[in-house]
Amino acid sequence: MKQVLAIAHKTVLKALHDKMFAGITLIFLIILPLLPLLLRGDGSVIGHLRLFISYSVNFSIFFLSLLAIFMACNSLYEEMFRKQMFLLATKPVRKWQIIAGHWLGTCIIVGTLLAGATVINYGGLRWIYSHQKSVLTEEQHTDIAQNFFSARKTALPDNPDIDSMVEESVLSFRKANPNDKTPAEELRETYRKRLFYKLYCIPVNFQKKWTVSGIKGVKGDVFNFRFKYYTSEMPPDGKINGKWVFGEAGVTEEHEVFTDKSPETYHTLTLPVSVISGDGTLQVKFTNQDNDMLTLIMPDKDNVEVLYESGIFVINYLKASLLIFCQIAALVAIGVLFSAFLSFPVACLMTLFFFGIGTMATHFVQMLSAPVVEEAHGHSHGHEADHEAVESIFDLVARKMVGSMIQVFPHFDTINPTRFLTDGRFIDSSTMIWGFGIILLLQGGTALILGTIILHRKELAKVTI
Amino acid sequence: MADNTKPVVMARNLTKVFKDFWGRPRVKAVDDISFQINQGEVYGLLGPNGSGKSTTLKLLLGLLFPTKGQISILGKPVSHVAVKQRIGFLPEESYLYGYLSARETLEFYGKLFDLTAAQRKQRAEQLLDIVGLEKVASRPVREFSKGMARRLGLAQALINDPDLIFLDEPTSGLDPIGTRQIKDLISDLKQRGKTVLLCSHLLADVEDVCDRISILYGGKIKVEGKVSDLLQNHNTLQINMPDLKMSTIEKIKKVIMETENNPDISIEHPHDRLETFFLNVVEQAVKDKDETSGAQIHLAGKKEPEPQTADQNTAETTDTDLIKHLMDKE
Ligand SMILES: Nc1ncnc2c1ncn2[C@@H]1O[C@H](COP(=O)(O)OP(=O)(O)OP(=O)(O)O)[C@@H](O)[C@H]1O
Ligand SMILES: [Mg+2]
Repeated sequence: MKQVLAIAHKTVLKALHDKMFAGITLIFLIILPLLPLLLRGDGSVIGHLRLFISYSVNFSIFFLSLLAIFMACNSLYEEMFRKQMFLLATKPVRKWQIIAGHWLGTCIIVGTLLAGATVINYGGLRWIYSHQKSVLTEEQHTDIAQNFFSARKTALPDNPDIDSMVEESVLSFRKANPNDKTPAEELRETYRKRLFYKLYCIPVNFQKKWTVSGIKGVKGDVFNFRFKYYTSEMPPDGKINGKWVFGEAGVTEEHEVFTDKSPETYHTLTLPVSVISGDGTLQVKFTNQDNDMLTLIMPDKDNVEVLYESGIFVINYLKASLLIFCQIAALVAIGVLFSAFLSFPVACLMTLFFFGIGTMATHFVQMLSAPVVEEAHGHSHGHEADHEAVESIFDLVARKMVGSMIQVFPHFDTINPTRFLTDGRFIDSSTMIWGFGIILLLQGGTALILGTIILHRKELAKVTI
Repeated sequence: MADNTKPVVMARNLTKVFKDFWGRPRVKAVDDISFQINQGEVYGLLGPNGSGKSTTLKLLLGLLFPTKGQISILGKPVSHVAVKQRIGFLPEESYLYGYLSARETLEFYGKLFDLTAAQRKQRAEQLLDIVGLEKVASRPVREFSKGMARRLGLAQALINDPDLIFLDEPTSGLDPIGTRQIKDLISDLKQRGKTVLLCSHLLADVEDVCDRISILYGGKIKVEGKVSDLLQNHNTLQINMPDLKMSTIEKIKKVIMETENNPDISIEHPHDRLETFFLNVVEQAVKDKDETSGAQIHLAGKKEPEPQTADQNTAETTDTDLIKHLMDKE
């Protein structure tokens, strides 16, 4: 351990004496505090805060990742290039200690900058808020407190499993009509459509029910209910009338809300926690009372959501920084791995490649995964014909291969904290586990182990071509 | 003296072929060499540039992998951390960290040997003093002259008080005083029972400190043996004594002429070697306390240069001369 720390310490000293590093750091530390002044947003304070946090966090991630890649690739490479490795390798130091020392040293440097950025960005947020506090109405204050400076957990309704319901219906149809020759796919389509109307369409004076369970650890007296619906055509006045009933008579308090909200955007209601039962279940009923007699559509995906305060913003914000650190530390590990056998520019390029793919990994996986199948809840129809296109085996195999190759890359987008922070959402433990367990420990650790093996087998005094 | 029972370094049929990018053999840098160094010995590896000295050293240290042959250092493969704990290495150039100061450099290497803070401090100060860098210990190494860096390189090789020391041209870039100090240092190490493997072009020094030498040429060992055996010249005699009266000299000449009947004699004052002269000048400057921003010079441990004992020719010869000389003898 002493050896690892000694090498890490030396790596830090190297950076501190590096003029290029000093210059880059200075630029970073100048731009960062200027961001709240440069960004304006849509005019509202909450808009300003959201814009600022997404820019400052993403800018920090981007900048520090690049710096981490640069420093990581330079650190080990230069040790070998300048032949200082000749001395290091003849000291009683194991190869893993050399790798770990370079990794740790670089992580300390970039981690320190990240800590600085975290403080500066938080200062920026506070500055924006306190600077415009005086012009805010009481309602806007609550809005910011609930929707931005918060750490809310989310709970979704228990959705029915459409696919198995369709299969069940097809099976029972076959049993009842053994001589029917209708193709299975056609039957499925019919049942799917039928279920779709039954489950998601709410004609006038009809009611839809949801059960949202697992609402645990609510802080405060109120929580938010978020919803969004669609209509087949826009209402003339742009509004849909409806009645919401929250809670279950006899079990919890009941709370009624009448709304006249427009379709196709999210709306948020603030409700008392007394409508949630002791075991964390919320019953919701909605009745369509539209004047224009329009039918509403509320598909499973993004229809309703319960948001409740569960933590403190500052803690959430620190967790976000930890997630960024996981990404940086993993990138440093990858950079050290590549610089163990590649020259500085090539190692940089390779690590940048990992950074690029990792930043868009989920996107790529979605693009490549499974042939495009008509999704049951799409509300715009009419392109079924396109899906008849036959996928060749080759295409399928290529997709599968590229898809599974992408799985090897660290999915940095999964742990990007911006989507949590802009909406004041609690960073859940699965995201934290993904960041620490998968990206840092598993993927970063694998890179370091591979780096050790490569360094072990490397003939250090051989001239690299 | 040398304890001939324990081989500290053993190389058997060592061969190193450098290959190019496509794996085609390019250079046979070391060609089937075998040798053994015993405990307490100072072993010299000589040879013209590119004869494979540094390559042999790197093979022994595990920085290069042999194409063929076996190596054992202190009875084990060199990759063992336990072996590295007991060796010191000064490479052909001092590959130091420019951004560290001399003291930080020694501190860093001390940590790698798991020395305690107190040990590190004590060793570092002691070594800085030995190599004459105590006054510049806080300056970054990148500002050092080549010789100063060399001195620090030597200090780092000794940080763990190694039992076996590999020195690749330790005197390259050093001033004559530094060269002299290194010579003394090697003698010192030998006295303390350490084993030294030395590559050098300075034959006069090699001659003074080495017990055994081998001479490489084109990756092969051409000559190996005890220095005293190799260098004894049976064809010439030299009489050393203080100044004589002219009349005495004439008498001696006469006696020799009469008994030997050989007109090929001359009697004259011996020349100082340039080394001695240079030493005297610098010694005077140190005594006068002249300032220097370079390496510090110690007079305390300095010994009087011995009078020349060996053949006048060998003392100042070049590599190739010596090789020719030795080969002729075989
Ligand atoms: N990494 C390498 N790749 C290819 N060839 C090399 C390499 N290192 C050394 N050589 C070759 O091996 C031969 C021996 O080199 P080496 O450095 O061992 O010589 P040396 O005896 O130490 O010379 P010098 O007196 O100049 O230090 C030379 O021909 C050199 O070109
Ligand atoms: Mg050499």
